[in-house]
Amino acid sequence: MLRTFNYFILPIGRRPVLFLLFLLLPVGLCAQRASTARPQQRTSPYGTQQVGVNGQRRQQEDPAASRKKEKKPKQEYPLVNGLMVGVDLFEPVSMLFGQSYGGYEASVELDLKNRFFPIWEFGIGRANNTPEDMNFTYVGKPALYNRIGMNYNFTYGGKSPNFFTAGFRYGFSSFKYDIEDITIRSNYWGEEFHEQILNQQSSAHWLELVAGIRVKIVAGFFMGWSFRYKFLLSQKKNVQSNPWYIPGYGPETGSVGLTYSIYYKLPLKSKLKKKSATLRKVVEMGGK
Amino acid sequence: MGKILSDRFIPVWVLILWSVLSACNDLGCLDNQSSIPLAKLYAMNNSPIPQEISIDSISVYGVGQRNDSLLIDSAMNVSQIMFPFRGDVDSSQFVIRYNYSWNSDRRRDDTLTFFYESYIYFASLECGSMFNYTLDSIRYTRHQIDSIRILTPEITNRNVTNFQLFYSPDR
Repeated sequence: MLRTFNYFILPIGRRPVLFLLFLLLPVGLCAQRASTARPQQRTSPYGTQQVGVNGQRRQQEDPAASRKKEKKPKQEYPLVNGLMVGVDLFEPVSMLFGQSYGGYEASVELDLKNRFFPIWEFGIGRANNTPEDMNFTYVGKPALYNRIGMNYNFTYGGKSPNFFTAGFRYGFSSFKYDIEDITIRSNYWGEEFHEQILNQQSSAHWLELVAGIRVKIVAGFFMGWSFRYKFLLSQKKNVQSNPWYIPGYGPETGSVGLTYSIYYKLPLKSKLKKKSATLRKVVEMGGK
Repeated sequence: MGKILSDRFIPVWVLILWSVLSACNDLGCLDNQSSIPLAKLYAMNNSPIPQEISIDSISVYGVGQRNDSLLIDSAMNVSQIMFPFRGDVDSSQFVIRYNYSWNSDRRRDDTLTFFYESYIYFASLECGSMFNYTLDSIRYTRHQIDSIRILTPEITNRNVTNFQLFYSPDR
C-alpha cells in the first residue's frame, strides 16, 4: 500500500472524475493560453513563412537572425508590484471527499518586481482518524500553524500572466491531540482494556521545498497548485505518544504535499523609475 | 531554462510531479503492534561472549491464565521465549516446564516473576496503541536457570531482546 499516496488518493477513490477535473483545471487553462497566443508556423519549399495572428504573411530572411529577433522583450516591473492574497482549496475539498485530516489555509504574498515573492502562509489544521483494523481514534485538535518563505518566478521577464515558481518555506506549529477509544486485547490472558490518552501537547518545525504553477483566470484572479517536499526538522515526542498529525505539515510520516489555491492580486504598486518604465527590446543584430 | 518552464511544458511537469507523488511508499508498522518482552537462551560458561543455545521439550505458561493454555507446548529447539505481561497488574508470573523423565514430578520447573509498571502508549498510526512496561525486577527459581540478565528494562514494541536466560550445563 502507498501510505502518503493513499492520503492523496483517498478522496480520488470516491469521485474520481470530479477530483481530477478540479486538480487539472489550471493545466487546462495554461494549455489553452499556450495554444491561442502563438502564431502558426508553416514551412514552404522557399523557406519558413510566419503567419501572424491577424493573417499577415511575411518572408523570413535569415533563420539565425530571425531567432534572435524572436526573443521576447523583457518587461520591467516596480519593486512592489502587488500583494497577492490566496486561499487553499485542496485540503477543504479533500476533507469533503473523506480525508481524515486537513484544514483551512490562507496566504499573503508580496510581489517584488514580479520575480521574488516573500510569502506568509497561515491556517488551522485538525485531524480525526480511526484507521480500519486499528484500536484507536486519533483526534488532532484544531491548531494554528504558520509558514514563511519565498517564491521565485522563473517566468518573471515574459509577458505571460502565468507563473512558474519555486521556493522554500519554514513552518512551525504548536498543537494538542488525544488518542481516544483505545481497545487493547490480550489474547493469551483473555483480557480487554479500554483506555484513553488525553491532552497530549507537542510542537514541530519543518522545511519545505515548493514548486508550482499559477494561472491568471480573470483580471486580478489567479489559480494554481504547488507541489511540496517536506523535511521535518524536529517534533516534540511525549512519554505516552508520538504525534501523528502536525497542522500545516500533515501526517508525520508524509514527506510530500499539494496545495491548490485561488489568489487575488491587490493592485498595490510602488512607482516605477521613468527610465525603466518603457519596454526594452533586446535585439541583437548579427553579433553587433 | 525558460523553454522548459514555458506554458506548453506545464502538463509535462504535472505528470512528473504526480509520478513523484505516486512513488511514495507506505512502510507500514516496522515494529510490533504490541509490547511483548523477549528472552533469549544462553549457555552459562566462561566465554566472554554468551553462547546462544536451544532447548528441547519445554513448555511455558502463565500463572493465572484462565484456560490453562500454554505459550509454548513441548516445543523443540526453543532458543527464545516471549512473555506477554498482564496489562492491569504490576507483576506477571510464568513457569518453564521441562518435559523430561527426571522432572516427572514437576519439581524442577522454573518459575519467573516479573515486577513492572505498565502504561498505555500510542506508537504510531500503523502500529497502534499498546501497553508498554518499565521493568523493576525479576524473581526466579534456579532449578535449571542459572541467572537472568536484563538487557532492556523499557519494554516497547521494538524488536529487541529484553532478557537473557542463562542455563548451566552442570545442572
